[in-house]
Amino acid sequence: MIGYLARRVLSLIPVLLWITVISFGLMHLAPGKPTDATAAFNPKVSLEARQRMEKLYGLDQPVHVQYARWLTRIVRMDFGRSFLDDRPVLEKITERLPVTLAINVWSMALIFAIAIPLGVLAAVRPGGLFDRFTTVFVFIGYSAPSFWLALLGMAFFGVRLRWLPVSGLHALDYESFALWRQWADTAWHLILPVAMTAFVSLAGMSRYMRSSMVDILQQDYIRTARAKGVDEGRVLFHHGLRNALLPIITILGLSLPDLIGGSVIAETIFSIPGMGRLFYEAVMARDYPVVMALVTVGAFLTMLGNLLADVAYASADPRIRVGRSA
Amino acid sequence: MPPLLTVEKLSVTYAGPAGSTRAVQEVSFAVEPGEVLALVGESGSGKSSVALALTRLLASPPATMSGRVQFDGRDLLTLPEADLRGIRGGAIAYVFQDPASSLNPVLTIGEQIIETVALHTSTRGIAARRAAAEWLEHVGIDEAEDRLSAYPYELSGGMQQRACLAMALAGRPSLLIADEPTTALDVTVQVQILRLLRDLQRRLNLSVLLISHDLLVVERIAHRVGVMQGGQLLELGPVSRVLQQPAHPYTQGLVELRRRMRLRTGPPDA
Amino acid sequence: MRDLLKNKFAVTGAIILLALAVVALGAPWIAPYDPLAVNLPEALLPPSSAHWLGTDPLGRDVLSRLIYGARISLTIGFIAVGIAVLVGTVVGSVAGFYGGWIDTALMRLVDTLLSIPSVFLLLAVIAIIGPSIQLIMAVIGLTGWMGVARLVRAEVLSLKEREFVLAARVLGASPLRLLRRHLLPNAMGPVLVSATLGVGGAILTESVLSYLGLGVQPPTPSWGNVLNEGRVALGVAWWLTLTPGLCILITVLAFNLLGEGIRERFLRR
Repeated sequence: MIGYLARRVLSLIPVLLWITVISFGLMHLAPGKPTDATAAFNPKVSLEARQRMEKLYGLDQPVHVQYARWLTRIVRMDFGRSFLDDRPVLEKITERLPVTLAINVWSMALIFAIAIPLGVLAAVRPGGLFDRFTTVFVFIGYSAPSFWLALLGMAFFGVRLRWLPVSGLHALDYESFALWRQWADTAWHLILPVAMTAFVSLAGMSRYMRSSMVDILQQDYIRTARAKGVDEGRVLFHHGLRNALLPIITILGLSLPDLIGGSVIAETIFSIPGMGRLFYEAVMARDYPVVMALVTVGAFLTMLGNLLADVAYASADPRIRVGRSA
Repeated sequence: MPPLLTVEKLSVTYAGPAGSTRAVQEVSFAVEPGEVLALVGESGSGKSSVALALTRLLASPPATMSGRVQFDGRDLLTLPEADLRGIRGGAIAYVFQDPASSLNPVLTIGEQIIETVALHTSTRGIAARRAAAEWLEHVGIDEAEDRLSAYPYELSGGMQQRACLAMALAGRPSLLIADEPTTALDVTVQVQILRLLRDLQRRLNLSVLLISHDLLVVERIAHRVGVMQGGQLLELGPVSRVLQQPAHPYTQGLVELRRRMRLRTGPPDA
Repeated sequence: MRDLLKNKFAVTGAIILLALAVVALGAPWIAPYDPLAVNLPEALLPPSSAHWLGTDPLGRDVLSRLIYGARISLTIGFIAVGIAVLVGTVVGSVAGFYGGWIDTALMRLVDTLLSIPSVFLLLAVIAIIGPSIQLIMAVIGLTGWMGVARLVRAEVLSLKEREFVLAARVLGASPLRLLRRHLLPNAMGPVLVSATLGVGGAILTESVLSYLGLGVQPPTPSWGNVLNEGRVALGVAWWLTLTPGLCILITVLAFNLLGEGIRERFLRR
């Protein structure tokens, strides 16, 4: 198992390097120098001041030197300072990371809690009423723009019914709340964003669950289990689901980039101060250090998630673990 | 002694997109205690459907069954599901064609055998584990204790089939239904498994319903044989009689084929 | 073809798409008003017989804007997917055919690109270079070719060693000819499914971008930016939020239905 882990981590290194190259390359796509934007905000900035800034950022060096310098700084977790408010980029990211993580983790929990039972129940009677109903639901969910559903949710639950808050993470007088009320308040504010982030993935996931389960239920060892007199519940869960969940783990890992990307939209719509919103604001303001850092961090998080998914898969499927001799 | 299992006019029909197919048409036979009864026929003859229908293992919406299956004084076709589950895997056990796919890949051999033990005997815990190891030894697997923690993919085809046998026998069946137990195995392994089956049958005084398409297999271990074609049971009788004096023209054709194959492969050993 | 017609999914999808194509192509004749015609006194009117879907904050007729929006969305969707299929097929063929380090390097690239949330890439690139319809099509296409590449590579790999290919090679066929006549045609089935579903996805992506202000720029109407413009009147002007979203939903749904229908037909082979 350790060997497997080590091999997986090693294979990720070239990918990580490529990601840094791409992030870096992105910034130099723009015509002109990255510091032009800051200079543009303040026309009084003199030529010498501009040259000084360029020197500071090493922009007068050839590209590959700049890349090398940037890379060595990133490895030390030094992402530079934001063009916008001159705060260390790392600090800006770390203060927003927990919120985004919370949204994504809750989304995944919701997806699991709903998609898996849906898929299993649909698979037990393929073609039956429940199956057809959920198929319709899934198709529509798949096809609807999630941000539109979020807007509808906001309009209905937030504005019309006034049940749920439509923006921000905390109520205005959050500071004065007792701890438990702070938690409840945060949760309240997260309901719509989490629902939105989860919704589309949910549709897809329940479909995958269904087809995986249908596949597994046709396997010979399911027939063997029934022939042994195992009751149907145990056949479904102990024998069937354990096998059917394996590909789902991989698919969950594969859907991580979309989840993280979805945070951008959800946080922007609901004005949640998370990493995604930070990215959007940085992009709009041409705050390149932040953008570069977030692209790298986002990709890194994805790969971490994939690694975790691989480890989970390996521990669940004995065929992978022992390093197939067959 | 009364027969162990009596099948009366069993019929199985499958409802399909292109209309219904009658896979089994009013088949009747009986399995005597301590005998090996073979059902032989080509693919599509309905023999596997018979085997699965006996304990209602066929998916019931597409398949409908009629007739009677008498076992231990009860009709299996009308028995409540809960009671039937007690018999399946217990008094009547199955072994299937492809051992690799018949075993759950994410569970160890031990877990799967112990599952049978737990379901059909009162043995639990460490005693159950020991029983599972003993069954593995019965079927000719050495180092049984170690093998219990092995996963199916770690075993060869022959060993997997032995494990399946152990899993079936652990419920102490009086009737073992073997559906093409050797077809997916290498030729040399086939012989071993058949010998094992014959051995176990004698030692445990088991009755075996053997499904096969191969007369040579039938010859090795069966006492009586029934010939099926197109869902119908054409003739039934002692192996020697059917092979030497086949009554039905279809059987005659089969026997002729076997004679020609024998000329090439030589007679089976005793 | 006949199986396709029997497939209810595919038929429904195709019908919807046909209707959409008619609307998009016939926009100049079908749209009741000029989608760009600003008319402030008539701003934010609810649906009426004069304006079937009401008006937006600048008094423009929503129905007309949505009809022209169909043109934009469909165009962007098709071209973006076209780019993705082109790039993906080339990369996948080269990787699968030549194997070795080329294959490894290319697949590493695919893995890398798949690790970066596409939203991040899209937003970053578009913000840096500046939004334009051509750029949007290019970027959506260039962030979506990876799936096609993998599909094509898998097909080429599995067919490469088959006898009929070896026979053609012995006869001296060039790699290009081999790919074109023997290997790629078999891959086209799954690629077609992926492409059909991909157009739906591209339309969704474009709508998100337009909603965030980095897609189709106003005054050119796109379903996404009509939604964005409707944001100011979220609780009151429901017609500005409901209808563009429904358009997107129905269109993407149609592509999904068609794609799934095609997939089922290929699966049955």
